[in-house]
Amino acid sequence: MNGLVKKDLIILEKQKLTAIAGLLIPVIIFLVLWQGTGALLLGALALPFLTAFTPFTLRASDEQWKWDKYAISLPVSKKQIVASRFLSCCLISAVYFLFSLVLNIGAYFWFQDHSISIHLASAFIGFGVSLFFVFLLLPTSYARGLLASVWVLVILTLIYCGAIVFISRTSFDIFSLSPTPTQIVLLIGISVALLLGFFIMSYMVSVAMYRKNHS
Amino acid sequence: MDNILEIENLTKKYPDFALDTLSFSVPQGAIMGLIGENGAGKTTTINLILNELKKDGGRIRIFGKDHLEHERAIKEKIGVVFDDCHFPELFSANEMELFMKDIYATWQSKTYRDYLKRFGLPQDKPIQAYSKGMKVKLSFAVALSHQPQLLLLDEATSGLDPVMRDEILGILLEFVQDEKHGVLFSSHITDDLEKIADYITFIHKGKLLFSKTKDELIYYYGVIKCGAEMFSRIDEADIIAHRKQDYEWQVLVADKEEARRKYKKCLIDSVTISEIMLFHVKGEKK
Repeated sequence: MNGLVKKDLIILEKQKLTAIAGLLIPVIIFLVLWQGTGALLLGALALPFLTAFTPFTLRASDEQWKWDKYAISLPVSKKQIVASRFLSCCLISAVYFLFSLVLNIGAYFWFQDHSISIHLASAFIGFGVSLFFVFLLLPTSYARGLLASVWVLVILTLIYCGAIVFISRTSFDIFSLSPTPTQIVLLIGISVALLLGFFIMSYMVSVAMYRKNHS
Repeated sequence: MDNILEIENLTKKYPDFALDTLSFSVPQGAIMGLIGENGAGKTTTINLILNELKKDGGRIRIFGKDHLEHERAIKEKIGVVFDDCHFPELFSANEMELFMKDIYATWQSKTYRDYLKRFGLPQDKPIQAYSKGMKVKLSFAVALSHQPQLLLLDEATSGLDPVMRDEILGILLEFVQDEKHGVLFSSHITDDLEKIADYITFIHKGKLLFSKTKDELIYYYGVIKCGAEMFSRIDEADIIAHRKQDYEWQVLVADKEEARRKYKKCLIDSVTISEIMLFHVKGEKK
């Protein structure tokens, strides 16, 4: 399975300039538009859209070279083929998350506009949502192909942006929130449990779809 | 273990096609040619062997083991070359090795390097810049670099020029020389199989027509060429298939020497694998 993950990472490495541009451009745009550290918070929240391109890039490459046909001849199970794809996408999400985390911590110490917990929360929320995107897009692409996952991404984008706009238009002030440590632990626990449950479901559906396509 | 690959009553059903109780085996040290027209079931057979497709019935044993129960261990010892290159073409030959060595426990870097050198393949150039022939050569280099015991080739030499095909055929002969390896070579280029195959398995519309040694086909099979009157006197039991070309009747027989004795007035020629295939596909029974 290591070999398959390595193969995915080499493909993504070939697209590194696009990825770096994808990481920096939203941050720069937000900085120019809002001229403050709030821009970084939004940048962190835009992370899922960047991460969403990982499953796209990898599945597009599979389809372009008909890699799946060859992969079946390798000494790896169908489960491992799918698992390696999840691992590659999660690794890239983690890299983007680390980038966002470093940027947010740096922004806190530099500007001190918002509390550290707000900066950390935005980085973690971005990471959580990006994993959610990956867990939704992978089974979709295995089940219905790349085009279907494009539609799913469009719908997700609309929902995600809609939610941000909705929150910004209400009197709800996210920056004034000051949750207790117990609430934070509870929130993290629930989020991790939800993500874990969603991951298991997503992985099982992906394996089933992959098996169905190759039987 | 005498047979490196054994297929018994292999069945796969689709709404418009069925691979019907296919049986044949590839002995150790042999090259088995799998022939048949397009859509006959050659690729389906290979896909079933690889478990790309789920069989509906029958048994596949590779190295004496069930192909599903020991799938991973078996695939460690199989090399596969398809008609197209399925490697990510952004990669170079060097990058291919970077991940392939982690996939196969028995990957031999030196063997891979030697093949790249032997085939004259640039190591840093992306595969997309390779010619068709170079891509096939790279596929062979990858397939042969993890010490496989069985090679599965699905139309691997189609689209290659004769010089390159000859080079690849030479490698296959080298591969089986020690009598411990085997090759299942699906191809509709029967000339290639005539040069190197030890056995020929012929599938037609999903059914096995025969699985015989190539020598048996080449040395025993023959074509009787005669007129309509002589044709009417040929014993029905002797005719495998026949066809009419202009005013000449051509009859495929299983024993040309016997036919020469029986039908002294007829011209009886040797037959190529390609002609045998054509008789079966396009010919008629009397």
